[in-house]
Amino acid sequence: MSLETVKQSDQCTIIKINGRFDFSCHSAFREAYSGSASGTEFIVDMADASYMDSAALGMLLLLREHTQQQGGKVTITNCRGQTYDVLQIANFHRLFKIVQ
Amino acid sequence: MAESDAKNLREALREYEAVVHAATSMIRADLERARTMVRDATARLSRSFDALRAAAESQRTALQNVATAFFDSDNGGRSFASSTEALMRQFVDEVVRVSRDSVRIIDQLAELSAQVSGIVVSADAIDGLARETRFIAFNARIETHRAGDAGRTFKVVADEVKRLANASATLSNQIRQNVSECNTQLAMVHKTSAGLASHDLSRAIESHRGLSAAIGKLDGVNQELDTMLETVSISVAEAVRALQFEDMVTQILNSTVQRVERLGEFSVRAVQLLERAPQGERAAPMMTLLQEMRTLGDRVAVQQSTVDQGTVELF
Repeated sequence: MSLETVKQSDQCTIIKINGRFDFSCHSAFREAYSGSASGTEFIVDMADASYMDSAALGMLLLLREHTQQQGGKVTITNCRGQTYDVLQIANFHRLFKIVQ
Repeated sequence: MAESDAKNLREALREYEAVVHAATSMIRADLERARTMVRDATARLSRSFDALRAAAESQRTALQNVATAFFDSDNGGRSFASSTEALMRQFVDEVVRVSRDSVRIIDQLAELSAQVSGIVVSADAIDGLARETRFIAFNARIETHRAGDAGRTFKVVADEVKRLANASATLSNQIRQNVSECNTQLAMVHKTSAGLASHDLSRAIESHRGLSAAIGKLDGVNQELDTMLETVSISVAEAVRALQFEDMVTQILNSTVQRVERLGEFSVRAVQLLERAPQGERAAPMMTLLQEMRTLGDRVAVQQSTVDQGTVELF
C-alpha cells in the first residue's frame, strides 16, 4: 500500500490510493485530512487501488464525518472491479458521490 | 360324358363354396383381431397421454411451490429471497459500523498515547527537580560541617531534604514504569481494534452475487416451465383428438366385414344359381347377380374421413 496526498488548492485535496486500501493506510489517511481547512473538498482517487476491506470503508466514513462537520464534501473516483463491488455492497452510493 | 362333367362341376362349386366360406371366416376373424388391437392400443395411448399431462402438471406445481417459498411473502410480510438479501445487507452494515468505530477508537488511542507521553515528560521534570534538590541537600550538609555544633540541627533538615529528593526520584520511576505498562496495554488495544476494523468483504460480495444468480435462474426456470407446460397441453390435446381415429378405423373395419360377408353370400347365391337354374336360363339371373355385386364397390358410410379437417390427416 501507499497513499499520496495532493493539495489541488486550499479548497480541494486529492488522496490517491495505491495498491491495497486497508488498515495499513490508516495513519497516512488520517493525516491527509486532519487539520484541513473548513469547506475542503476531498477526492479519493481509487484508480490505482487494487483492493479494499471494511477498515477502508470505516476510514472513508470517518473522513465523511470530518468533512460534514467542516462543511466540505467527499467524492470517490475511478472505482472499478473489487473496490467498486465493495462500495456497492456497503451501499456507499447513498452516502458518497461515487464516480466509476 | 356331359353327365360326369356336370357332376364334376357340382363338386367344384361345392368346394368353391366351402373355400369362400373358410376365407370369409378367416378374414372376419382377422378384422376382429385388428379391431381389438386398435381399441387396446388407443386406450393405452389415451392413458399414457393423460399420465403425461398429469406428470407435467405436478412438476409445474412442485416448482411453483419452490418459487412460492422463495419469492412470496410469509406471515411477516417478507419473502425468503428478500429477507435473505436484507439479512446480508444488515450483516455488511454491521461489519462496516464495527470497522468505523474501531478506526475511531484507534484515532482516540493515538490522542491518549500523546497524553501518556506528556506524563513521561513530567516524570523527567520531576527527576530533574529531585536531582537539583539532592544537590542542594548535599551542599547544605557541607555547610553544616563547617558550622560545627551550630549547624547540627540544620544537618537533620538537610538529610530530610535528601530523603524527600530520593523519594520523588523513586516516584517518578514508578510513574515511568506505570506509563510503560499503560503503553503496552494501549498497543494491545490498538492491535485488537485494528483486527476488529479489518474484514475482507469478498465473501459477502460472492454470496450476494450467488443469491442474485439463484433468483434469476429460478425465475428463468419458472418461465421455461410455463412455456413447456403449454406445449405439452397443446400436444396432448392434439394427440387425444388424433385418437378419435379408432372410431373411424372401427367403422371401416365393420364395413369391410359387411362387404366380406356379402361377398360370401353372393358366392353362395352364384353357386346355387349355377346348380339349380335350368341350362340356358342361367345367364340373365347371373347378370342381375353381377349387377348387385357391383354395389360392393360403393363407398360405405364412414362419418368422417379425417380426424380433424385442417390439422391431422390420418387417412
